[in-house]
Amino acid sequence: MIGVAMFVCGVLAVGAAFLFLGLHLRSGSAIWVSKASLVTGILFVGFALVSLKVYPGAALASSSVQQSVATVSHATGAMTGMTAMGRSPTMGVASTAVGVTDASSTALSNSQMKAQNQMAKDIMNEKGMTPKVLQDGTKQFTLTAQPVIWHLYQSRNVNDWGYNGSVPGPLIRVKVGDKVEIVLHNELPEATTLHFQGISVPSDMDGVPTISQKPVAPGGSYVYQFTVTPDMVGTHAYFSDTDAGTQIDAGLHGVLLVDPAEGKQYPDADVDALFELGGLAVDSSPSENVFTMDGKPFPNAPQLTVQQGQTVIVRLVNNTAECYHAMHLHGYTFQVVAMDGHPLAKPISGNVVSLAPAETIDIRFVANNPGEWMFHCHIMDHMMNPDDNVDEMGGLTTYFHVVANSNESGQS
Amino acid sequence: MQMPQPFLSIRTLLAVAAAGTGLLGAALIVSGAVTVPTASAAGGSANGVAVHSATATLTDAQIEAQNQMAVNVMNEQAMQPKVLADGTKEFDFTASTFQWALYPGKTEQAWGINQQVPGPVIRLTVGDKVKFVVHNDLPEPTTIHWHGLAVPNDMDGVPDMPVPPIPQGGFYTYSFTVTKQMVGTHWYHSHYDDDFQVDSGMNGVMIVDPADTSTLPHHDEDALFVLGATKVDGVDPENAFTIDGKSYPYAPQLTVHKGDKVLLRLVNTSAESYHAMTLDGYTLTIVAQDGQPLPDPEAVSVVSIAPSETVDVTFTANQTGDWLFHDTIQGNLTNPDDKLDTLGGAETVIHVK
Ligand SMILES: [Cu+2]
Ligand SMILES: [Cu+2]
Repeated sequence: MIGVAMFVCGVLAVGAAFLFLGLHLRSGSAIWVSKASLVTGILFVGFALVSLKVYPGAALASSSVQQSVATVSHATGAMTGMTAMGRSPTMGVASTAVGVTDASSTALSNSQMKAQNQMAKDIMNEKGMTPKVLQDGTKQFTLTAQPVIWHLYQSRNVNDWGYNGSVPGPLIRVKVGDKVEIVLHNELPEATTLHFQGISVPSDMDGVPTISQKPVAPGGSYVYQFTVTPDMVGTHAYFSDTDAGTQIDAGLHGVLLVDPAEGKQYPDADVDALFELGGLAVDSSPSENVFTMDGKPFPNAPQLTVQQGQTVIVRLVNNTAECYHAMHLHGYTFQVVAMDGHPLAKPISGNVVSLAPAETIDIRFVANNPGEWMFHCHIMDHMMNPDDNVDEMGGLTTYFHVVANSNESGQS
Repeated sequence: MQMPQPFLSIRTLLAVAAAGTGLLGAALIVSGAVTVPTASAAGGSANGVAVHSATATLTDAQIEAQNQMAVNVMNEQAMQPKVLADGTKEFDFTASTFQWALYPGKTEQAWGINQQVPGPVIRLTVGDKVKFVVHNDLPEPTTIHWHGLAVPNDMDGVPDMPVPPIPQGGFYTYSFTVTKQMVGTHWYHSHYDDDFQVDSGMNGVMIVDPADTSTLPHHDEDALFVLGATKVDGVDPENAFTIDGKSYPYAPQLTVHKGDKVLLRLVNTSAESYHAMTLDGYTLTIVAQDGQPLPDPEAVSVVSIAPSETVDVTFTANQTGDWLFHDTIQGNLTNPDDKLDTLGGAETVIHVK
């Protein structure tokens, strides 16, 4: 933590100069960079690395190298200076603020909060967005990237960015053979793009700003088109690929689920549920400190109810910009049946599954042990909310309710 | 001559650091007079517990005895249960706070079971009826969760789901029958205030054998390395890394003979950190994860272990020498006040004679 504090001091000290370097690195465009700010920026990175070396493990995750990279990229995110409703339109003022800002605790009515919690349940239940079907049969999905006030927990509302007023964005569910059109409207104050992780789309549909397409400017639109092929079957992520570290955590992420042309990917599954893992930074934290399942931290994360004996598939998507997650299910041994949408020839059994950012993993278990079973990330600071007391749980925590059968007929 | 060391709770430090004043944190540590701020200005949540003075220093003999405990854990020396009239194996656990030597010059205030970190190794056989009587002498509630074991719901140790946590001064008896599902390398840990309690030492390993062990592959050596982390001086994130409760050079060292087939059981009990272990001079073969045999054993040079995962690896000791077994995550290889950057943290030596 002292390392982090030093880090923040460093941000303050050289923030204004480094702003230009950060912008330059992020956009990859030919913004003029003054030599002075470049040098200062490099000095700053050095300082940050030194502070990480002196206080090993000052950032979040696994290796010190990864930590440095993650924290530095976060710092550049910080330099873009998010303020109320996203971020400051004028980039001239350095800010130590990272992540999203709080919205008023009364900004949403109870029914609005309920509606948002229902959106999370719909994602868990894999309810796909209804497309408009064009004359030639093309399925057209319209995603509007826009600011949204999002309810997290207790009185915590934040100024998020979402697609169609939802975080994560709507579930896009298509099947093999579909011609798909995804229309992206940008109602954000900065450019954005959309990237579909793990599926081979034409290069100009890949969403990497300036490489595969021009970023979509505020007020602009872009149409992503592709035809769904058999190799795309499975669980995939989509997210913004512009200023990604910041935009993803602000809420611009979602799931793309591809079904086979006929039937289901998992024909023997009685229950097929989706948990999309997200992260964001509140309270100007230099790293992610709120973690969400289908957009909501515990206790608002959706909970899954199944009957004893049912075969359950749980699809996990790590749409957190910086963090690994290690998801653990109590009361069961499960099988990992697919990774990044691809089925494993031989399923691997376990009770913990580690997901890198953008990875997806499908697990399967037979619900033969009745009770209320915790399902959570075993990285323990991912299972609490910033305002929690020691006896409270939050973040990446939910429960699987396995309802006992009165007769044992469901047992397989 | 050690100054009285105040114990800073994680959340206190978080609050302090969130205020952007790392120096203040240092000042508090030095001042030796810390009270937990209530509802800190920084918006962190102080919890009003876990302020203890670690006044006692351990004698050399006590440190020696603790280091021997780590050797015993490595050798999988299991706790002896009391056998009840009906054959039930009963294990007595007492959770308490005590001084624990991490590495030369560093003693921490541990929260652990039966005065050791990690807690006692538990070895069970399918068919066993077991009882764990857990007494709570900690300054806050606790529970024990049997990670990886499909126990009945009221034995699972999640607070209030459905059983309330064990209050300070209270006890709870966890009982279950060991099933086939439980075979393999698993662990147990507190599920209350777990980010703090697990890293303070409230964890231990369970090894479950099948009823018929004759079908298991033969190993000349079967050793346990518990990969832990702790938040020394209340620093969050984790800043000290351990093997069997000890940072190098106190971590236990393993000696095997040339030609031995060796099984290493690796358990990551760290609340937050990944470990990536490698054995110099050798390729390791992953044979099981979370106690479950892999369908196809996998040869690797680095074994990445997420928090709470267990991984069993094997190797044949065909090269004599003294081989470093270490984390490849460099931040896990120094002890907090080591200015010279010498060996430390999650590393040890495997001697092949
Ligand atoms: Cu758990
Ligand atoms: Cu656990």
